[in-house]
Amino acid sequence: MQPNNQALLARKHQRRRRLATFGSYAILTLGALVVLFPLYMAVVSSLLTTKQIGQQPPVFFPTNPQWHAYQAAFIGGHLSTYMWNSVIQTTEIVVGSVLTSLAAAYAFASFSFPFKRVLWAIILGTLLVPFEVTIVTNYKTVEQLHLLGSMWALTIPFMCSAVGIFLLRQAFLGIPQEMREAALLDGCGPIRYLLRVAVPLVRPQLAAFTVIAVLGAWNQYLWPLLLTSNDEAHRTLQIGLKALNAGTFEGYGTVLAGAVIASIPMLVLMVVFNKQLVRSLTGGAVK
Amino acid sequence: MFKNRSIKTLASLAVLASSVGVVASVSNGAASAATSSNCATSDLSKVTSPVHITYWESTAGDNLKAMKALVAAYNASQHKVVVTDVNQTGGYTDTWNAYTLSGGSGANVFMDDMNNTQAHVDSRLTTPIADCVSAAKFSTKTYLQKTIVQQTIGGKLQAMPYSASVPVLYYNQQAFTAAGIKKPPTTIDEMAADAHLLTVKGATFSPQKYSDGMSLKNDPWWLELWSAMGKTYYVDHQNGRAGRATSVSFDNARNVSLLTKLQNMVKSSDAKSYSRDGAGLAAYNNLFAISGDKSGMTIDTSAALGTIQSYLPLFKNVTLGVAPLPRLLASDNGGLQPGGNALSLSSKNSALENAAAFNFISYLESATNLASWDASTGYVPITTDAAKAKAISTLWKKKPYYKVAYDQINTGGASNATVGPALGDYYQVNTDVANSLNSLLTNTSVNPATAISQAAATANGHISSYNSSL
Repeated sequence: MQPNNQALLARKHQRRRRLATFGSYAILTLGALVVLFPLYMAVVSSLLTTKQIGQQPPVFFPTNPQWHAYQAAFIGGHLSTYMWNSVIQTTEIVVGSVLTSLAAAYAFASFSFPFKRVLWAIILGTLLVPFEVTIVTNYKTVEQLHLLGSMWALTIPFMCSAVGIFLLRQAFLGIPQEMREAALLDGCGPIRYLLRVAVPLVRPQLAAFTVIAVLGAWNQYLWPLLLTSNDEAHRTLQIGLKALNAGTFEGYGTVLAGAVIASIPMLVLMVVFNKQLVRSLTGGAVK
Repeated sequence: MFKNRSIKTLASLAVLASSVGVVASVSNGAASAATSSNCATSDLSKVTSPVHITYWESTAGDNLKAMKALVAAYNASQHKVVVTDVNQTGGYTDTWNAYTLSGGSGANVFMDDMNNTQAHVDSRLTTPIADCVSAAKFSTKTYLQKTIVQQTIGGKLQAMPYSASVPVLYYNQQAFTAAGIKKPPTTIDEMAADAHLLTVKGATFSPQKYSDGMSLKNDPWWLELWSAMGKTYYVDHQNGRAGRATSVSFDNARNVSLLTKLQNMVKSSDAKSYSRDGAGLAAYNNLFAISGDKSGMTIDTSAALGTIQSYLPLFKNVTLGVAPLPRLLASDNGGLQPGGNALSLSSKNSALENAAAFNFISYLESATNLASWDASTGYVPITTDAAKAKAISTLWKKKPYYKVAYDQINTGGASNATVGPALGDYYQVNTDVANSLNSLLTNTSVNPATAISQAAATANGHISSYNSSL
């Protein structure tokens, strides 16, 4: 091939690559716009007057932003209390599920014990059972434990996570056997090995699971709704948001303001822990 | 691999505990058995310490404020009963779910959809309020009889009707005047003709107005109402009131004719179809079409009247008109059945709790309090006494359109045909009809007879499945 032709081909390839990159970015940008537009409109609508909210065609830019809806949602709608309840609920669930998942995953990955395979199969089997199927039994359990009316009723049923056990067991299995043996030889006991060696090594998976657990706990709706039917003091943010929905045009700005407030902590979490979240979703793809 | 026996035991326990925690849900909880109860009204007058009862209601916004005020006023008015009002944020369906989940012990008295009463009876988690009506010698003579017949199942009044509403025709008087329409339509044919006039005349305006003619919301409730107006049954066994409903009866020539007329309006672009399932503001799109000069009329619940009325000053282009729901045939004289909510008693109540709960209900349903509730919420008074009370008479005098819904409930007499169906699986049947109605009005190539037959077949399957589960 002539040098000129090679240069021509290279330029052609380069042009194609640029076009492909441009096309990919264009499609991704369009996708991002489709996803972000409703969020944008929620923020914009929360800053509009009542008349502007119902205006056709819709108002896309708030020329005179109204902030009273945020005050109405946060103070009048008691979102500050609900948010605090959500923080406590999420913390309890996340701490509980991380600890139990670590313990169980470590046991499954490191020890031989009776019925290990059966128990593992049962735990995996629970992944196939939708939460809605378990509501009645869980309700009866917390009722019989006299936990109704306490924050524990909202959190205890979620303190064991099959997803967490699975994710962390796989991570523990990925640690080379030699490392365990070396730790043993150096006089390291099993608990010390777990805390000093294994946990630091599975930190990425642990972080990923924590993010998943936080998102799941924060966005819970049905369980807290049913559990707090007689317990307004422990209602969480998602239940409070529903209470803001007065079913009227006038209350719509407040509802949107509440939705924006409720989504802020999760947005921050997503931005900060984006890498861990993506890793948790794609981690098993190449194994 | 660690071999230490004690560690292995601990590990086994940890795994077992996690497994139990994770799979706890797979076993079944014991169902609570319903018990019957009477109503010790005479004992209530003798109590020395107050009886505490829990009340669940699903109101929101200004209605919630009005309800809280009524409960506070009741608690302050006497010392025999203390009511704890717990607002349920999830609406009627979630409230009912939470109530059943609590095995009937969540609340002593609760508010639920008027149409869900058959499910209450089937669940055995409520007790007929007739026991208390009888024990307290409470008169239901002043109640609009349709509300009483509607809540009567198995020969007993099951729940106390409380808030009522019916669909009405909302129209923009300015649009009607501009289109040369002298009075609101009284039949579907007139409604279709007026919708057409709105689009034709609209074309001469600049900018073009009322191009959609009518905004038509696809609400399955309408089919029930148009059936009742013609005194025809929606389900068998006289609307499920002479015996348990086993199949639907709406698959008939009358309803095919009704749906054909509605579909023709959409086909000829004299009406635009709107889904009833719109989320958030989309639920009001049929009304926004009027404020946006796209349409000149729509059908929606009278319960929206308060909100619409408060919003009107923002739209100078709209002069509100409210008319009765147009009839399919000029000869239809069944009037409309009420929708709304009713108050039920828990079957887990003691006789004294029933009496206390009924005392509270009686307070809520006194003429003055009902009138105050209806005037502040836009609901229709359900007793003639409440309708005569000052709050309502003043409102009707100032704004006569508030009376339209009341008159429609009072038309046609109360019979099994005019009060709507008693269906245990009401919501599922409702969804089946909604799906067919939606396909019919969004895809005008769908044949109305086929659509209604499909809705009937699906609904019959669901009714059969529900009945066999009892």
